[in-house]
Amino acid sequence: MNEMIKIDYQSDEQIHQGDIIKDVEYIQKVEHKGGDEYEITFIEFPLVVVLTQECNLELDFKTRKGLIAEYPEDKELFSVLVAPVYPADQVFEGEHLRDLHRQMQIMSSGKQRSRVVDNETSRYHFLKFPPEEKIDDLIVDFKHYFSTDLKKLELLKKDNFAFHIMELYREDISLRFTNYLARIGLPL
Amino acid sequence: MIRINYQLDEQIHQGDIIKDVKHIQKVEHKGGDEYEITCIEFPLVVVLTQECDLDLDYKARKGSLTSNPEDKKLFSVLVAPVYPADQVFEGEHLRDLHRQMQIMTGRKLKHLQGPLKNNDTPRYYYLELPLKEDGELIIDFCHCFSIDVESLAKLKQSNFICSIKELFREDISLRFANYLARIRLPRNCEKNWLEK
Repeated sequence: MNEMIKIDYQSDEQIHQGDIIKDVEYIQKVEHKGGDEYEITFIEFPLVVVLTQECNLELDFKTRKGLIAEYPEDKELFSVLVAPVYPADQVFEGEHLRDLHRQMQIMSSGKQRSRVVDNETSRYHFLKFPPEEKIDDLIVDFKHYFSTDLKKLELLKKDNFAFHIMELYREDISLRFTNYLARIGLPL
Repeated sequence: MIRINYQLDEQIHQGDIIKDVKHIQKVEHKGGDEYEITCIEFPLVVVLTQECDLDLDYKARKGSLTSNPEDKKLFSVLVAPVYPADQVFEGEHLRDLHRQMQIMTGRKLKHLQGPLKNNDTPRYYYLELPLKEDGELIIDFCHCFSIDVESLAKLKQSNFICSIKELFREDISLRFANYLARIRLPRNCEKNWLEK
């Protein structure tokens, strides 16, 4: 049975593990077309969750604030790892990437859906919110992770911060994400 | 010493080591048609994305999946830079970016090399590749980033170095997963507990 997660709305300058941020651009590629011409392909995701570990984010932030005396540059990150978060009903209907003209898997059976809701499908993390938050169910898709520039995300957070997933719950997401990454592909 | 192979194919595989990979750090709109693109080129990276995901993505792109191919496509591949071990010990591996990294040489600091070489330091993975030169390498998990699948697959055709064999690549992925999943505890938790 999926437990409800706890969230808060306290925002500060630093990016935190478990932050949910709106309208985040993923720069997919930059292609040189010759001369001064470049083609930039990017996708804007309506919601993402930060997966980078909290200590790393904290050390990076302190470094850039000049609070670390010993080898500060050693602690700086090149990027932050995030994963898109989609409305659960759209994921079940396979419609969450319709803007990209991608027909995703339709989960029509109750069994498929309940496995996702119970967090038994390694690819997804189902987020159920307490009724007072009035937030519809959401699903993190670990397969769609990407990295984004930290400073740009910090700047974006000022206007686009949605909420923060509290400790324990965010650790659960990170652990399930890393289990997803570390699964071993056996020959079929 | 880890085991590698040199079999090059079209697909990106978990454990592939590829040279001269560009990380697009950011694209800033400067007004009008002007954009500023910041990118860093890493001499070597290792692919960390899981093999099944890469395999399904490849099959989806090649049209050999009949059921929900779009569902299996990836947006990006996760990689981590791989640096020469001697440069990491000297803290010099990012000198081109004017970054002074932690030094692990000299009488007082050399002791840091032991745990790193034994793969007891969560941030790093020490690799001894059976290469003619520069075989001692270190993966820095802290510097991981993502890159477009198709761009990397194209680059692989000219810049492939080798692929780390199954068991060894699984070990790298597991250590990377452990690095990402470590739990931050408050620094003064022991003191608070004693006070209670």
